[in-house]
Amino acid sequence: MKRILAAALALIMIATVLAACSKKPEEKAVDPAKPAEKKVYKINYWQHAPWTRAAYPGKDQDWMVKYILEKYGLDINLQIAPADGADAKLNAMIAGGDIPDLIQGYFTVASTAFTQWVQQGVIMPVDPYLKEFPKLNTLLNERQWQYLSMDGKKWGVAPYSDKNFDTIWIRQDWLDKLNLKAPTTTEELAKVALAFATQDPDGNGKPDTYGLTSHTNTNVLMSRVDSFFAPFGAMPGSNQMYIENNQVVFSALSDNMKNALTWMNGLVKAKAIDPDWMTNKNENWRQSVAQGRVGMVTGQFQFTRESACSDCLGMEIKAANPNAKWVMLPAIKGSKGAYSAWEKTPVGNTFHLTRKATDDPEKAKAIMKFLQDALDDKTELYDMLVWGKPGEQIEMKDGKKWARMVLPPEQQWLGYWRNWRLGTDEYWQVSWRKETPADLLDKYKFTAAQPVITRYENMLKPHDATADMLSYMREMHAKFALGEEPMSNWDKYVQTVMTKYRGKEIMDDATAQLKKLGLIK
Amino acid sequence: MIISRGERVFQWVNVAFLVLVAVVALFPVLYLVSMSLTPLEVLYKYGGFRVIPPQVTLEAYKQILSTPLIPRAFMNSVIITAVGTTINLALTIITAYPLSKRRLPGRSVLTLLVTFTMMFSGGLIPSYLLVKNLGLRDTYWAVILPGAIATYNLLVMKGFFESLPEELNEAARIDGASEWRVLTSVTLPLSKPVIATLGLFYGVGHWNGFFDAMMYISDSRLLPLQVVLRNILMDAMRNTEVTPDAIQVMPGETLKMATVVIALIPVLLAYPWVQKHFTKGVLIGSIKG
Repeated sequence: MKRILAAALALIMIATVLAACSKKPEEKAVDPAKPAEKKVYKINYWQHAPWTRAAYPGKDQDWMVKYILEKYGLDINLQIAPADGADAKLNAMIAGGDIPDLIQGYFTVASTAFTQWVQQGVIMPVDPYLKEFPKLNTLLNERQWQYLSMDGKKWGVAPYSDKNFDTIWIRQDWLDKLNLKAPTTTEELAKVALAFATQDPDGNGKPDTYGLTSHTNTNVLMSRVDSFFAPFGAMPGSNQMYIENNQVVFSALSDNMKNALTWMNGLVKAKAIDPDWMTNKNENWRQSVAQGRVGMVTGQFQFTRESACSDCLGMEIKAANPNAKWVMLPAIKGSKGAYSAWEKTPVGNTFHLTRKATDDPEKAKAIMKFLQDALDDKTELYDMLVWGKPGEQIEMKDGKKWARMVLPPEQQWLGYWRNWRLGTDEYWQVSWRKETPADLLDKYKFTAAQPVITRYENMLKPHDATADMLSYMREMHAKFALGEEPMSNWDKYVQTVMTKYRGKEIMDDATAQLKKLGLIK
Repeated sequence: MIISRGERVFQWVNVAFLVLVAVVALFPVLYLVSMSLTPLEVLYKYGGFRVIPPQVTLEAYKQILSTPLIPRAFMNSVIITAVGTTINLALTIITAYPLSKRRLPGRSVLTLLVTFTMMFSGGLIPSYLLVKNLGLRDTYWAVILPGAIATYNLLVMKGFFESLPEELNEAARIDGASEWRVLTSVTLPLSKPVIATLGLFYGVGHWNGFFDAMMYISDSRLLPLQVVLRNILMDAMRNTEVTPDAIQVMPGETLKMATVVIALIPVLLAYPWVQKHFTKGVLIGSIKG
């Protein structure tokens, strides 16, 4: 018995020593006797929505931290939010007094966290610093700044977002086989979808092809079909708001939506749409598209790119169906007009200064100076953050920059420093020179040139009745599309939303908010 | 012993049913393993995973072991489980033993206080403040110490100790043993079933531990396996509306499944060892013997 006891004690002691030794090594104090007068500020930088999940090598191995320390006097401690529970953790930290100095995320006026933080004084306005760092001010136009403004002040900085990526991709080989022309209107689109479903374009004698498909997830009824419905000005399952004749229009209740759902119901009845559209998840969507189950999708300009990105199906297509010829179509014309997609949220990821940072005004200034250089593609800092070390991740050839968009696995942790990327054409050019065919840039320019619908619901503070209204709408749209609910009940549905689900309240609230922002007179 | 016809039929039906249950239980694990061994080309070609893949690749496992992310997380989990379970058991034993003695003054009050914590807890923010003020953040102790004694397990062990005959302890005391000696020489050897059972509960609890580690540990070198696994899996399911301007590189299905298999293996290996104690331990509280 004594031996077991001794062994157990020894085990505990060894394990305790192991555990203690695995504690994070004490951070080396920054040498106070630096010859330069520059003061060093310790910053906690919280990444709420990191762009990668690669293994972070730790602060001492991170050469980016050393570079920033040297050039900007900021000793950055990178705090990466967990994939699950990021909100809980951040809230607990803030409540416990551990407020980070700089917060990154996608927090615009529409997010409840943003509103809460402004009201509780967790984040601070950046207006006083914009005078000293004017480049941050000119980064966004007036409309884009509205996404970060509340009570007449600006509560963060952000880069502008990318241009449009989406358009319709269609199987040219199927069009050729069936002797059809590419569709230009929504009526022609329906005809082509029907032809794809009924005339056996892949020639295998089996009725296994369809015009289009989609996939669903918890938030959205239909995904990857934006370009089919944008011409109608209505996306089934969502409620985009746009302004027409100085009035707010709820797309989910509009006649445009009625047209869109009638159109879709027609496709469902004619079996031109893949019956799996409601049960598909992202993975089987990719499979069915690559294997040639459908002839049209809404895809990004990089749809045929052979890379492991979530919108690139090139590798799957090559393996499953190498003879498929996918081409892009310009915006289709519908009852609202010719549009390829809904516009993206005009700002990219956002950066917020917290009261912990502004408690020391010099520290806040140092952070803002860093942000200004980080969001300016003419600076050395930008090149370092977005591309990497010259000679390692980026090189100059013939006076042009060459870099990799997708890093090798052991360098992917650099993705934690890339969120300052600006959506410029040059960005895509630099990264593609090294790895992909030149025509990808032309594809990018093509989609970037397609018209998109301006929408406003993503800049409004959500109403507490919105969630219920949206889930009812989603349910009803699905029913109308599938034919379970006859279109003659449309007006009854609109009535129900306006009254029972407080649609009128929400609409009035939206109108008031947009008036305040000066978007409606 | 002559088995009647009816009994024989019953036995066959029983066997068939249990085989079915075993297949249903094993199939997902088999599928998981085969998914982790299927190369991407086969996936693309057949449009899905096969139960027995035509080609097998160890590529995913190689990739996992090439970056320090998973091996480091694995080691963290192993250390937390080993140290944690030892501390759990030690503390549970020395807390349950006195509570099981009828002659302890204030026994019912103490038991009530202990049971109280099973039903009510301070909540997230107070726990966070506690861990922060104790300076335990970013250490293994944040995961091990706060829940070091699980009340339910404590009550189970206390119940077991109460079921042991008091005469054995008295006999030992007459022979001149101290309380401590009685515990180690008389009670513990008889408690192997309950120690094995609770050790398994605690151990699996630590191995699967996610929330505490996620909350209190930010240093990515100290994160245990489940948190890292969750990060990888959620990353792949990421909605493009959440991070629309990130350049997204997805870990393939194969990689995800290989990570899950790696997380499963230690638990799968541990179960057979404790199996024999476990079946006895499950009957704790029922008729002794």
